[in-house]
This record gives sequence, structure tokens and C-alpha cells, in this order.
Amino acid sequence: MLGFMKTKNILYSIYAIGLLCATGSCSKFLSQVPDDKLTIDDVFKKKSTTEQYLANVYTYIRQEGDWNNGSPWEGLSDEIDVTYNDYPTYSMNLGQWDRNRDSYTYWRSFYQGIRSASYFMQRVDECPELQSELKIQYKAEARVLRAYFYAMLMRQYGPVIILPNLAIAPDASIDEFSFPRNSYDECADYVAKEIDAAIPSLPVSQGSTQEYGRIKKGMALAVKARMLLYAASPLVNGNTDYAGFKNPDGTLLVSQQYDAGKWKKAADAAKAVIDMPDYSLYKELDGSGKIKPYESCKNVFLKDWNSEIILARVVSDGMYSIDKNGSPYVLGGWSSWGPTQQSVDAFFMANGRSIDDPASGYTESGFAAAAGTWYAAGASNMYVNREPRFYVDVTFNLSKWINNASNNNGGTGSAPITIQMYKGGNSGQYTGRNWSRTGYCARKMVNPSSLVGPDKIAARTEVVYRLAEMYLDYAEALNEYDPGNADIKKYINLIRERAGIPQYGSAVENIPEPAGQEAWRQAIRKERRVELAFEYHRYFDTRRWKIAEQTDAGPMYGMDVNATTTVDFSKRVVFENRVFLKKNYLWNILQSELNKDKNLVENPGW
Amino acid sequence: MLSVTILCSLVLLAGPGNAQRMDKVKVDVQFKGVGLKQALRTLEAKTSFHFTYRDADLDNTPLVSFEARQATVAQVLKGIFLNQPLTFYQQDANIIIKKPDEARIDDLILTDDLAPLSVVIRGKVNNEKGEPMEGVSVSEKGTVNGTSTNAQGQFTLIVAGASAVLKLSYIGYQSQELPLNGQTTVLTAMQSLANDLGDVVVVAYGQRQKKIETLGAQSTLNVTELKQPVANITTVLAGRVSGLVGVQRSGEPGRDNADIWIRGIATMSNSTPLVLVDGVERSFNNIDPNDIESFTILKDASSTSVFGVRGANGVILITTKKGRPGRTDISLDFYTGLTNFTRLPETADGVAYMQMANEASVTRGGNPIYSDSAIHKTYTQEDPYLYPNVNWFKEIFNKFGRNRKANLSMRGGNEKSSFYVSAGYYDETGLFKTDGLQKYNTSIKFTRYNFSSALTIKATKTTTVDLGIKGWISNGNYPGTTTDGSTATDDIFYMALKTYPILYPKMYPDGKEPFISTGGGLNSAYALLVNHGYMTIFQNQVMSDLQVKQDLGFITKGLSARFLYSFDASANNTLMRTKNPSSYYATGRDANGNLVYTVTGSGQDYLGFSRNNGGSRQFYLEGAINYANTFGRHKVGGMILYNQSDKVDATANDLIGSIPYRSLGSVGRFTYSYDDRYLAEATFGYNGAENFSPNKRFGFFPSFAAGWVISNEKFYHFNNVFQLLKLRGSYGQVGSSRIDGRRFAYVGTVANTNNYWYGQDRGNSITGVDISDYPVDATWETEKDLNLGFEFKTLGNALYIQTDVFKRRRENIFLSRGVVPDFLGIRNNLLGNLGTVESEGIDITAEYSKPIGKVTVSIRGTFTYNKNKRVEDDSPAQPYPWLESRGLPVFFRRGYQATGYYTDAEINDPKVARTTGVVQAGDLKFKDLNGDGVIDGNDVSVMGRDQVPQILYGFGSSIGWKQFSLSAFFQGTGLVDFYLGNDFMPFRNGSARGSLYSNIKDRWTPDNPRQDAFYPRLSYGADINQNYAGNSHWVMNGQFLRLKTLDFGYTLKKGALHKYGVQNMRMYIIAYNLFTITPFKLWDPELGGGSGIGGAGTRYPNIRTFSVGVNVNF
Repeated sequence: MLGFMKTKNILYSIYAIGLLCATGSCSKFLSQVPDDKLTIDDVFKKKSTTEQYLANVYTYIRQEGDWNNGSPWEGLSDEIDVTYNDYPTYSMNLGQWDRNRDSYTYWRSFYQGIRSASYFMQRVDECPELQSELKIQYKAEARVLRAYFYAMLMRQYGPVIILPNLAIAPDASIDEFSFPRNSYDECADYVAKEIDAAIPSLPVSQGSTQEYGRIKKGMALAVKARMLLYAASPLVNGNTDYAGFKNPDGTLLVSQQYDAGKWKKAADAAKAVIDMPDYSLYKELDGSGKIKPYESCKNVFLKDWNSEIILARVVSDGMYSIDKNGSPYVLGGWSSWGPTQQSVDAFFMANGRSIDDPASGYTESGFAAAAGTWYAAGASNMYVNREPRFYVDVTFNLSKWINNASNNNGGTGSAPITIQMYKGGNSGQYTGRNWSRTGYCARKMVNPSSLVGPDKIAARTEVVYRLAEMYLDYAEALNEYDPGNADIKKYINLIRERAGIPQYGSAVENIPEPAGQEAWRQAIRKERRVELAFEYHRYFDTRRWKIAEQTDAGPMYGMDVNATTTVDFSKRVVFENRVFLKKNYLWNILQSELNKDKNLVENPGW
Repeated sequence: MLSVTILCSLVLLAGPGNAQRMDKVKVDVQFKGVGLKQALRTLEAKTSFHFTYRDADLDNTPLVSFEARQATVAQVLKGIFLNQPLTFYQQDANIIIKKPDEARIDDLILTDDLAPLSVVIRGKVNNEKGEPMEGVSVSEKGTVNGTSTNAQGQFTLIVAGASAVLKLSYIGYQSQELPLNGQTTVLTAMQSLANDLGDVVVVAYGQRQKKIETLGAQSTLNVTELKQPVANITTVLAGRVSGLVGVQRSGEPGRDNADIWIRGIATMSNSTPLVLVDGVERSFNNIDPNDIESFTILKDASSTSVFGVRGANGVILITTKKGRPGRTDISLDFYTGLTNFTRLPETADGVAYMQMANEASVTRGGNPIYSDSAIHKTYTQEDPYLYPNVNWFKEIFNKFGRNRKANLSMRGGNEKSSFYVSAGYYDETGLFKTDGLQKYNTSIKFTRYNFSSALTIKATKTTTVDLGIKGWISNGNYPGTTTDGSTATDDIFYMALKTYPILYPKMYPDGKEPFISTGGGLNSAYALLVNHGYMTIFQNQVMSDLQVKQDLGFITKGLSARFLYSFDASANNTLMRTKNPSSYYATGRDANGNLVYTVTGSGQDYLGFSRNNGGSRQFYLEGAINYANTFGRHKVGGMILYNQSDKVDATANDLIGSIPYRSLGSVGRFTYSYDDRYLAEATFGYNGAENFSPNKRFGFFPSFAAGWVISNEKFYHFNNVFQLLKLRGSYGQVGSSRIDGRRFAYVGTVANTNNYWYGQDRGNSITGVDISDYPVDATWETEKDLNLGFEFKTLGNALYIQTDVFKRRRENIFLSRGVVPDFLGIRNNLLGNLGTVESEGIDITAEYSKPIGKVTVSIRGTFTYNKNKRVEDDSPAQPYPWLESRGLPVFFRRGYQATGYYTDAEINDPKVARTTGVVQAGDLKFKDLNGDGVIDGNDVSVMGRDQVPQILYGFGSSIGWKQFSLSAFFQGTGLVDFYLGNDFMPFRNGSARGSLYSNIKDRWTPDNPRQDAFYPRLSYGADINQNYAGNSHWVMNGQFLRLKTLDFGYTLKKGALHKYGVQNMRMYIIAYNLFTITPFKLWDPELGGGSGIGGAGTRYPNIRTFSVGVNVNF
């Protein structure tokens, strides 16, 4: 019986415990989230976490240099063919692009950046650990970033929705966020005003070495300049094709009246950057103080934070994509960014003339008898006597590589290897897929210090805004509203000077100045195309100039990559026929997004 | 009849007065079936008495069995002469034995005067059918003295006297009281309480109910059906239990878990059922089927609402074997078998690949991809290193693998304590090849050791203590491939298809590993298998529980209490000794004919090491008070229960995940029945869920059920047609608090985002933080659940059919808000109780069993059908009705409606809507649903059904004849589709990747423009048109019918091996997954579709096994 009593007592005590729990401590049993878990309120209590929140806003600056998968701006433009036919750019170029295609839809990502920036501005003042000057500066940084994200949306989608400055509550009802699109002009005004408002609070210089890469005044002005240039361009400045592009309430989204004053705004904005003493074109000089054009044009991308850089973005793996895709197969690269013949043709001759200028001396017949600095003997005469920027930018058949690597393992030889782009050549067509369909490979920005075979990629930053673009933006805008202004020639010539080619003008070594506004317009566009080649501008330039129907549709040319000798190889062949429809001037907004906002209209033609 | 022969009589004289009295001398005796003479000789030896009898009188008398301690000689004699035609009396020291008519009456001792006597009672207990019943408890009325019957139904019990009363009881049977009236042997039959042989089913929280009394929809599985030659019992359930939907998506040893749902899917969020092993939430994948006593699934609200916020997705209840008083049974089970694949994907060979590539390019106006000479060299294999033609599946697989299993169990005990102990061993080798050159072993081998022990102690007359400790340890050896970061070998399958046959050989000479990057990389599947090291995965799980049951009959009759505490722990541990060797690609041969290589990847050629550990521990506590009593024809029952659990996941990656997972609840269940005719039940669960804010934390889930057994009515006169007719219905509410991927929804979260780098030297890296999830005031999902059941028996009890129809409506389903546009910039949309899903279906179980002459036949079948539909999913309004998701099933896919291939005439007709891209005759033509002349995203509509089958059925039959038995079980699915993943559509990625399936010849060509071709006009390179955009052409019917088990057995005749102690022995041959009938031919349709690694047939297929085995009971 003793055993029984014992068991019974144990049992009763267990029940007692159970009862206790059932009545008293149960609510505690389930309330276990610790009080000291990081909450969003805590984030804004400390300086370090507040700065982390701001860093998060910065991360929405996209890395544009990841051309094939990350950014389509090169592969969808007439500059580049992305070799791989399983990449979306391939089928999109062939017209395989309907309203539901969600490749490269950055709508969501930039709006997330916008929300984070707004939220940061809302809350940063709460942070007790942050000095008030820093609060003001950080808020201004976030404000510029937000403006930049809008500008990025505008270049892709045209007029977008400008959200209220305060982040919208996540549980808002559907009617609270059924915003219509703002007109393009409203968007442009908003971005410009936001930047103007932020500028007084931004530092001018880079500050401490730890702070490099933050938004500075120059960066803010550069964003505004490019955005205003786009806003003045024919696509959205009095484009009557968009007469029916309206909100449900009838609001016109693109102005139907051409306004030359927009060009003035753009020119003024670019000039504001140019006038800042902090920036100058990057130049390397030889012993006699003469510009070394090849080195200058090459290294402006390789020397971090040089005087020309307005904003650079750092990415964790350096410029892996640029180096890998831009290097030929023999060196372990993927040869996958093939400049089109059209972009090769755009480069000037060493004498500063276009190849279609009878005085240029350009010929497509014959082959170089002797090796040059950048090519081996036997290279097609097409590549002889071209301007330095051509040699900086393009790997062509029988060009010499940019370093002495001897193979894809990173072995070093005593001289640069010669790149063979014909079938069976060291970087030409073979059973694998790493060969260019155009017979060219984009070497601009490829770092000679990187050994791409063994994936030893030299670290550096990606240039997002640089001064040369501001010169070109300024000259273009000026020519549109004040043709004949001396600054047009001045700044175009500054670009040409650095590039090592004769300038426009009357001096002996110069070439004749373009006559009249239209001639200048073409000269500026040519110069822009060459100077900013492969820097993600061309896609947007052809669209804002409304010339994409000519440039981006129809046959695209390259060399004959099926040929097995240099002689057979060196002739123009069509590698693909592209489709460009009017709807492609602006990107598609996904139907799923339209469904959620009855006031949001699709872009024209989709 | 006795034949009387007069022989000498033995007379021994002793001095008068000295003689002891036979009713005073005490003696211990133990006679077991001995002759009378032998018994008397034993008594003579033990005492000073002498016996006098006529030999002839004692000849042919029945054998004597009698046991007694300290009984007087007179008592002993009375005992042994009880049924003898003889009597006895004492003369001095002599005891005279005579026929009664010859005896001297005055010398007889009046036995009635004797003191009470311990008597040994032997007996046998049968059921109504005359079969022995094991485990019947037998006790002497009014005492604690008791025992239980052994496997033969026999028992032995010493009682105080021959006038004692025996009490017999067995759950589900009518208790009996048997007055002995002097008998020492008893033969009796127990009467089951219900008409239907007293089936007892396990219901929630360890309660058992007579089947006739159950009101909930539940199905049970005959546990012998679990004993299939597979490691993982989740894989055998489909088709064997009605209401359970199961699919097995991989057959890889140790990773072959089947996905299981109960009554299909009723929510867009978590739909996995609650699994309880011995009352505690535990995984059951690795439990040895031999240790399972019962397997039940609970399907409707009346059976699951007691589980509160855990029960909405249905409940699987498993109980393991416990001890049983009686003789010790030892059982040994062993089988060994060969395994192979049900079906591997078949690929086109290299020559076909090249020819098709050329056709694909030329038919679109391009140049041939491969030269005739290259194709010829591939065909002749004159240089297999430069012109390879590899059948990857052949290179990586052996024809057969092996599995085997042994299980030894012991079960027995007495009325004080009983036990069950078992140990199991299972191993399985996979079908992957190994390379003799490697110093390590990459073959898949999975070994598992199971143990189970259960001890039941009757601590006091009213207290029972159950202690159970179960567990398993498994050890797996796998190839060291981790290209996808997971540990499964799906990537080997994926590479075997991704790497096309002519790219490179499986290995270059000298063991150089081939590799080429095509924007993702093409590995040699063979090299991945043998050349990348190996890994071992060690896992274990220990489940322990302590249960105390206290009969509180001293307070009031029928009251009892139960307390359960369990502690579980599991661990897993992956040790990876892997490498990623340098890789090469041969570009040609030099002048000496040696291969010229380029290095395609400089790797690490020596084994590296990494590891991955995990584990969990769980406490569970449960206390219950039960009441059950009968008042005449009224039977009432009640239960009040409290439980709580606390689980910690050792592999947590973040703070939230590291916090113990907790739940608590209280439960009530009240049952009433009248005369087994009218039944009623009310249950409730009151549960707290940690996921919700304190004011929304607790949920109350009531349910009600009622039933009517028509066949028990007095007015029922159709017993000749239906021996049982029962109707029942239940309605109630159940809940779910599980939110996939989100814990503590009421708390907002902040998460790290990407890094941003500042600084001149790019060194000032700052990790971003941002709001990840906003806090939401969500609460549990609730489901209203109606179930109607109908059961009957007919054909003289031979056919039993149980049918349940149900309708469920799940509300407040957790969804992230669907109407929030992307431009609000919210990273993770707010969760809310936003969805509603309705589902309905039917479950049927049918059993038939009847002996036909000497042949016994039993047939069993199940059928499960369900369909579900989204009523509300917070999706925004759509421009066209076919884009609306409301009204569609929970899982649906949308795409273009393919209507054949364009003809030349249609291509030239501007009125025919065109798909986008480069479109030619032979490309797929889609319906222009909105008639706007453009095929675009507004023309997609739902296509096909989900890849979780809507119909699951199984049927089987077993036939016994003499010692032979043959049984077969088929399992099938219906109303199931899957989408053929795009990964290996012909040349969709050009030469980048992708083999062709073997049916590539079945295609549209200009010369043979068949509308019924499988593939459209070939193309080379990415999607130049919409042939491979999501469209109904690629929806495949995934239904199949599979011979799951074919079992042939032979049982040795009873007693054939008795001298070796063998009670029973059966030998058998089992074929598992023997064949599959399906319209889909490319791979095993049960793997489903999908894309990426693991999709498109790139999984370890299900396996077929052929086993021989033996089962011995000692």
C-alpha cells in the first residue's frame, strides 16, 4: 500500500502543477518574443543601425555593368550582341516580348528603394546618437537617392507615379493607393526640385577616405542634369505620338507642345556640374606633358575615384561580369559581349573623321602588312588607323590583348597574345558557347590586372556618372536651344582632345567644324556614341532621340564568324534581324501591377 | 468401461493409534496430466501413507492434474478423485481406494468439513468464432489475483478454492464472471460488446472507442500492410487508407519521404497534417513498421477539433506496441531484396542529338550546327574523347541495388508488468556506380537501426505506469556532390540531362574531369558522382514517454486520470569530405595525337571538409481526467485534458527561429450512447498559439456529432440483407495557426539586406537593415467542417463499406495581401487572414472477406476524391474573367490554350492571331481568348490540374489456400496533371545545355506536318517564339496505376517445427512497385514535373524491389 500512496501523491502533485500552469503562467508560456530583439524603432535609436538603414537605401543603386543578366541596356541596344541565346535579351531582340514579360522589370526594386528612402527621412530625426549636421546630411543623401530612383524609373517607364513623401502604410486600403501616373513633366519637376532642395545640405568634397562613395553635391547635380536632358528630348518633349497617352481622368502624360526651355534647364544643370572645381577630365600625360589618349581613356575606368568620377558604385566581386564577358575565350573569358559592326563603324579614324567621310582614308579591303601597336600583321585594314578609343573599346580579329597573359590559366608570356576571332581561331567559334557572334568583343573597362581564366578579378568600382558625360549632355542641350553657342565646340573638343583625335575648328591640325545646328547635332551624337560606348547610354539615347526604329530594327551586322580564315572572316554579314516596335520606346508595365491600381495605365502600344 | 481383473492387493499393516490422519498431514503436490497410479506413488513417497487399490480399478482412469500447496492429503485425494469413479478412506496408515459401491461408508471423511483449498485452474478463452484470444485478463473475483491468456488463449491461475469465481475481461468484449463450481478446467468464449466483432479504434489522446460507437470520420490501416520492403513507411500509405493523399517524389535511400495530405489540400498556406506517435507530435518516417500497433487517420472536425489550432489539416495517429501479459512471444522477421528504378528518363543518343540540332537550325533558316563528318565520327566512335556519345544514365547507374531488413521483437509479461522490446536493422544501397580508382566510397548506402521498448507496470491495484523508449539511428553515405548547395543527389540527375551526349566523355584519360561553362556550367554527371568526394549523414531520434494511469474508481466508478510526459531529442550531422577538382576540356589533338586541353576550372583536387549539424528537442506534457460509465443502457463518457509542448530547433538560423516553438491547449470530449443505437458526442479544443498577439491568441474549437445505428433498432428486420446499418454526421470547427515562413506574426521584423561599400579603398562595408515584415494582428485559420458517414455490412457480414462525404470551408487563411501594388515598395507584403477555400470530397473503404471452401478470399479497397476551390484570395480585380483566380483550385497553373500547330495557310492568313516572335508553320497556335488579334498575357487561362492527385485509390486482394497465400495491392491516382518543365525542351538553350528526351523523333516537320506530333517545329536557341511559353500543350496527364505489392507466402504447418520452439513460420516473396501503367512515358509520373534541379524528371526515381523473407514466431 505504501507504493500506492506514493504514486498517488506523485500523481496529485503533477495535477497540481498542471492546474497551476493552466491558471497562472500559461499566458507567459506563449509570450516568448524577447524584449531586446531588434525592432525598427530600435534601428533609429543608435547611430550605427541608423547608418545601416541608410546603407540599405544605397544598395538600390543598381550595378549597371552586369550586362547580360543584371542589366539589359547593352544587349538590347544596337551596340552589343549578348552571345548567349538563352539570355532574355536574345529573344526580346527578336520581338518575343509581350506585356507580361517580366525580364528586367526594375519597377519593384526602385520603388522599394524609394520607400526605404522616404522611411529613412521620416525617422532619422529620432536618432539621439546622431549629430544634427549628420542628420541633415543623411536626410539629403536619402532625398537625392530617392530622386535618382525616380529618374531611373522614368528612363525605363516614362511617366511614373510620384508617391507621397511619407511612406504609405502597408495596410492601406486599395483606394488609398490607386494613384494615377504623374505626367512626365511633373516627374521631371519633382526630381529636379527634390535635388535642389537637398543640395544645400550635401557636402561638396569626398570628405574622409571612409566616406568616399556617398552622395555629394556633384552627384546630385549630375543626376539632375541627365534627367533633365532626357526630359528635354524628343520622346517626351512634344511627342505627338503620345497624344493618346492619358490617365483615366484624361490627364496627358507626355507634353504635346515642344518646349525648347527644357533644353535650357538641361544645359544649365549640366553646366552646374562642369563649373564645379572638383572635377576634371582624367588625363594621363607623358613626360613632355602630352596627353596619352589610350591610357587616359582606358584608365578613367580603372583608377578609382579619379578626378572625372562623379559617382562610383562598389560591388563585392569587383567588375567580374565586365572582365569575364569582355575577355576572349583564349584567356578564359566568355567572349560574350560582341559589339555590332554598327558600333565598330561609329568609331572615328585616327584623323578624327568618320569612316564614311571620303577623306577619312578608311578601307575595308586589304590587310595590314605589318603589326601595329594594337594589332598583329594581317589584321584587316578596317582596323588600321582608327582612333585610340577604338583600340580601348574593341577586341577585333588579330588584335593584341591588353596584357601579357598567355592562356586561360593566367600564364604570362613576354608579349600580348593575338586574338583570333575566326572559326577555329583561339577565340572563334568552337563547340562550346563562348564565342562572339559578331566577331568582336567589348574590351572597354576590362581590367588588364585581372586574370579572368583563374577568376582573379582585380577589385575596383563601377563608374556611374563621370564628367565627360556632363560635357556631352551640356553640348547637346545647348545646341538644341542656343545653336552656335561657343561652348558646344569647346566641350566637344575637350572630349576629342582627351581622346587624342583632331578637334573641330580652323586650326591646321583640326578638321572642319560642323555647319549648322543639324550638323552639330549629328556630330554631338556621334561623339557621344563613341565616348560613352558600352556605358549603358546608347539604349536610352536611341529612344529619347526617337531613332530606335532605324537603329534597333532590322539586320544587325558582324563579321563572318563561320569563316575559318581572316580573309574570309573579314566581311560584313547579318547575324540577326531585330524587331523594334513603337511600343518598345517605353517599357511594359506588368498587367499584374495594372490590376492592382485602376488608375494606372499601360504604356502606349503594349 | 473398466474391465475388472482381480489381482493381488497390497496391504501393509501398521500399528494402530500411531497412524496420522489424512486430513491433518499436509503436502505440496504438482501433478500435470499424470496417471492416477503415478500420483498415488508420489503421495506415498511424500508421506507415510500407503495406498491400497485394485490395479484394474485404476487402469484407464483419466489423467490427473492437480496442484496445491500445503494441502492435506485428504484434500489432495479429493482433488484428484474429483472426477474419478472411485472413492477412498483411511485404515490406519493405509488409504483404501475402491469403487464407491464397495466402500465402507462410515470410513469416508466428509470433505465438506475440510478447510478451503488452493486450486489450480486451467482454462482456454476463445472468441465468438472459436479462435483463441490472447491477452484476456483473468482474475479471481474479490482479489488482486489475476493473469492473462497467452497466444493460444490459455491461462493458469491458482485460486483459493474450487468454488472461486473467475472474472474475465478484454477491451471491447463483455466481461464474464465464471463460478468454478469445483471445476479446475475452464473453456469459455468471450462475447464482443458490439455486433461487429468488437473492433476497437484509437481516437484522440489515447482514448479508444468501440467501432460501433465512433462518430468521427476516421480510417484505420491494417498495420500488417505497413510491412513492405521499404525504409520509409510514409511511402506505403497512399491508396491504403481512405482520405489520405500521398505522393512520393523521390526514391533516394534515406531521402524518400512521401508528401502526405489528409483529404487533399484545403488552404493556400500550410497543409501538412499533424502526426502523433503515441500521443506526441513526432515524425514517423523512420519508425519500424513492426513496432506499430495501430495506424489511424482522423479526418473530420469531430475527431480533430480536440487538437485545436493544430488539427485543421487532419491528424495521423500512430500507436506503438506495448507489453502484454502472457507467454513471451519472440518474433523474427527478415527479408532481403534487389532494387531497381521504376523508370529513368530516356535520352536521345548523340547522333540523333546532332541531327536534330541541324534540323532545328536549318528549319529556321540557319546553318547546320554540326558537320556531317562530326556526326559520322560520333556515330563510329573512332575518337570517343573528341567525338563522344555518352548515355549518362548508363554511366552512372548499376542495374540493381539491394535492401534488407531484420527485426527481432519480444513481447510478454505477467499481470504485474509486461514488456515489448524490439530491435530492427535496415539497409539499402543505391544504384549509383562507384569508381574503383577512388580511395573513398561514393555509393549511396543507407543503414538504420531501430529500437523500441515499452514497459507496463501495474504499480498498484489501480495505477499503471507505461514507460516507452523508442528511437532510431541512421547512417547514410552519399556522393559528395553539392552543386546546388543541397545534399540530395538530384543534381547528378539534373546534370545527366543537362549535359548533352556529345559534349565530352564521362572522364578524360588520366582521370581528368571534363567541364565546360555555358553560363552555369556543365558537369559530367559521372564525375560529380565519383570524383567529388563523399559525405556521410548521421541522424538519430529518441522518443521517450512516461505515462501514468490512475484508476480513480475509489472516488466514483469509471473515473480515471492519466498523465503523460515525453521528452524527444533528435540530431543530425552531415560530414562532407568533398572536393571540386580541376576541370578540363579537350579542344583537339596535337601532332602526336595527344589530347590538347584547356583548363576550364582550376579547382581543389584534394578532399576538403565541412559539416552541418542540426537537431531538436521537445518536451510534451499532458494530463487528463477520464470518465466512463454505464447506467443500464445509457453509456456516458467524458474527458478533460490539458497539454503543452515546447520544441527547440537546434538548426535555427536567427533569433526568431531559436525561440522554442510552443503550444498549449485544453480539450474536452463528452460522449453519450443509448443502447448502441443512438450516439452523440461533443468535443472542444481550446488552444493558444504563439504566432498571434496576446489578445488573439486563444481559439475555441467546438464540434458535435450524432449517430444512429439503425440495425440495432428493435423494428429493424432486414438483418438478412444488411447486418449493419449506421448513419452518422458531424459538424464543427477546427483551426490552424501555422503560417509558412512567418513566426510571431504580431511582431515586426527587421532584417539585414545587402551590403553597401563606401570608402576610398572600398573597405567601409556596411550591412543594410530594413523592415522585413510588418506586424500584423493575424489570428488562426478556421475551418468549418461537415461530414456525413454511412456504414453498412452485407452479404452475411462479409462485405463492409464505409463511406464519408465531406465539405470543408477554410476561412481566415493566411495570405500576403494580393492587392498591394509593387510601387508601394513593401518588401514583404503584409500577411493577413485573407483567404477562403472550400473543398469537398468523398472517402470510401470497402472490405470483403469470406472463405470459399478451403480458400479464404479477402478484398479491400479505398477510394479518395477531393476537390478544392479558392473562394477568396485577395487577388485584385482582373480585366477578363479567365484571369480571375477565385473559383480555381488552390494550386492552379495558367497558360495559353494550345490548339495545335499553325499550318502554312494559317501563317499566311492575317486574320489568324499570331503568337509573338518568329512564328512559322509547325509552331504552337494559341487561342486568342479576348479576340483582340494579339496573343498576349490577357489570353492565358487555367490549364490542367494540380500535380497533387485529386483521386487516389487502392485495391487489393489476398487469397489463402492451405499453407499458401497470395496477395496483390494496386494503387492509382487520377485527376492529376503536371507541367513538363521547360529545361529540356529541344535546343531551347541552343548548345548551352540540355539533352533531348528519347521521343524527339515525334515532332512536326515540314515534310510530315502532323498535328499530333509531340514537339512543334524545332528551333535552335532561346525562345524565338512562344512554343515553350507556358501553354497547355505541355500539360501532361500524370495519372497512373501501379502494382504496389505482390506478395506470395507459404506458412509452415502448425507444429511442424515445434521441437525447435517455432510456433509459426512464414516464408514470402514480395515484389514492390512491380509495374506502372501510365500515359506518361518519359519518367516515373509520380516524380511530377517542374523545372530546375529536381524538376523535369531529374530526381532519384522511385524504386522497384524484389524481396524474399521469412517470419518466425517462437
